[in-house]
Amino acid sequence: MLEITGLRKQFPGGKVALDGVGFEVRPGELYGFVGANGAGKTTTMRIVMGVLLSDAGQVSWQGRPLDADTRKRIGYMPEERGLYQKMRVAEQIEYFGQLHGMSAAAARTATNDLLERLTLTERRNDAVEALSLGNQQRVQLAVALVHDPELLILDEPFSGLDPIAVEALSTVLQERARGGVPVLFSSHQLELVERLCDAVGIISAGRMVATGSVETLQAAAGRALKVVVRGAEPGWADGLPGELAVQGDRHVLVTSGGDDQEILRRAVKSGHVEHFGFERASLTEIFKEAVA
Amino acid sequence: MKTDALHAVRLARTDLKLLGRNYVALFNVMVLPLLFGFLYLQMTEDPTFVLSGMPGILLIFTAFLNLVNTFTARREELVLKRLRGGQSSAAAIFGGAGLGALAVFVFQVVLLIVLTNRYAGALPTNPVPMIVGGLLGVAVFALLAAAFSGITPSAEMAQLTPMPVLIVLMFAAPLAWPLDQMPAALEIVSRVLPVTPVMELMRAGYYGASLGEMSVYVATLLGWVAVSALLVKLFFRWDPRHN
Repeated sequence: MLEITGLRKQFPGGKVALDGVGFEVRPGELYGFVGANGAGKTTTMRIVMGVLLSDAGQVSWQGRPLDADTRKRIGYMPEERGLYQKMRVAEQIEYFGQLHGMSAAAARTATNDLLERLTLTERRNDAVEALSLGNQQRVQLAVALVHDPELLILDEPFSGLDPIAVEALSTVLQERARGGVPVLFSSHQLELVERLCDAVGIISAGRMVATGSVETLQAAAGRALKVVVRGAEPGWADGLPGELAVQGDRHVLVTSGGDDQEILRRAVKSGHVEHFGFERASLTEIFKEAVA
Repeated sequence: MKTDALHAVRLARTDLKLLGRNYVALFNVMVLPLLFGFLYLQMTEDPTFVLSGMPGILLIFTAFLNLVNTFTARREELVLKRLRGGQSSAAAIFGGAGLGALAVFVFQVVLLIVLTNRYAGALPTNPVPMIVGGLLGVAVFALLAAAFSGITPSAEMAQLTPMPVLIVLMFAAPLAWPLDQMPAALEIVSRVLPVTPVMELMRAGYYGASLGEMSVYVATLLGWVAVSALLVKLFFRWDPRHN
C-alpha cells in the first residue's frame, strides 16, 4: 500500500504548494487524484518519486519509507513527457525497460506485448517525433509499464487523447489494477475518474478537501431530487428550493432540500411530469462543492 | 554504484546511436576536426607534431561541441527530467554523456595513431600520459559542455553559444607551433587553456617528457576539472529554459 502522510512543501518565494497532504492507495486500487491547475497534484507526485523533497511528511510503500531502490520499481509517467524524439518507438520502450534493470530479451518481450496492447505495433519502427500526440502518449504509458511496476504513478495520462485511446489506456490500467498494482493517476476528466476509479482524492490549494471511495463521497454529498415537467406553467416552482432550468418546453428542477411530496404535487398540477427521482451527485458536482 | 555504472553505459550507448542518426552532429564530430587538422598540416613540416597534438582539437568537437548540443537537446526534449524521475542519478547521466564522448574520442585517437604511423612513420612509445591526458580531457570538456548547455537556450543555439570558446581554443592551442615558439602573451594564455595540457600529454606519448612537465599538465587539467564542476553547479539546468 502507498501511504502519503502530512506532506508539506513551500517553494522559494513563499508559496505553500502542499499543506498536510495525505491519502492511501491500496493494492489493486485505481485512485483518481483530482484538483484544479496548481492545486498540488504534480508536486505531490514529484515528491513521491523523489524528484522534489518535501519540507515535512512521509511517503511509505508497504509500511516502509519509499527509497531510491523502491522507486526504480515504480512506473512513473511524469507531467513532462520527455522522450528521445529521434529514437524509434520499440527501441525507446526497450531502452527504458533496461534502465529499470530488465535484460535486453525481457525488455523486448514486454515491449512487443505493450505495443500490441496499445495498438502501436505498426508504428514500432517510427521515430517518436513522427507520431501524433495521442500515439506519443501511448508510448509514454508503455515506457511507464514496460518493467512490470509494483506501483503506477501517472500524471495526467489521459490528457490529449481521443476516446479510442482513452478506452485502450483505461483497459490497460484496469488490468494492472486487477493484478494487484495500486494505480495513482491525476486527471481533469472527472467523468472518466468517476467511471474508472475505486477511490478519489480531491486537492485544492495544497490541501486534501475530500478523499475516499466514489460511493462514500457520493453518499456524503447527499442525493439531489430532479424533476422534469413538460409544458409547465411559468412560476410553478416559485418559492421552491433548488435551481430551475428551462429547456424548450421542459422545466428541470434540481434540489437537495424541501418537501419532496409538495414538490411533486405542484409539478403534477403544473404540467406533465416526465421525471421525478433522486439522483446521486456526480463527481463533477462533488468536486465543485469541495473546492468552492 | 553498480546501477549507476550500468545506467551510464546504457545512456552512452543510446547517445552514440542517436549521434549516428544526426548527420549534422556526426559531421561536426567526425569530419570537421579532421578538416582543421588537414589545414594545420599545411602549415608545418613536421606532421608528427601536428598529428600527435590533434587529440586536443578532437576533444573540442567530440566532447565539448557535441555534448553542449546533446545536453541542450535532451533538456529541451524533457528527457533529462524524465531520467531524473526515479530512473538515473545525476552521476549516471553525466557519466553516460562523458562515456559516449570518450568512446568516440578513443576511436578517433586510434585512427590518428594509425594515420600518424602511415604518413609520418611515428608510433607512441609511452601510452600512459596519453591515457591520463585523454581521460582528464574528456572529463573537463564534458563538464564544460554541461555548464555551457545551461546558458544555451535551444538545441539550434547549441551550435552558436560555444563558438567564442571554440575559436579561442582553436587558435590559441599549440597545434602547429610549440608553446615556446609562440608570442609571449599567447603562450601565457595557451598554457592555462584546458586544451594545451591534453595536447602536451598526447605529445609526451610520442616525444617523451619529464615527470615534472607532465605533473604540471596533469595538475592544470585537475584544476580545470574542479573549475568545470563548479561551473556545472552554477549553470547546468535540468529544466527547459522556457519554464
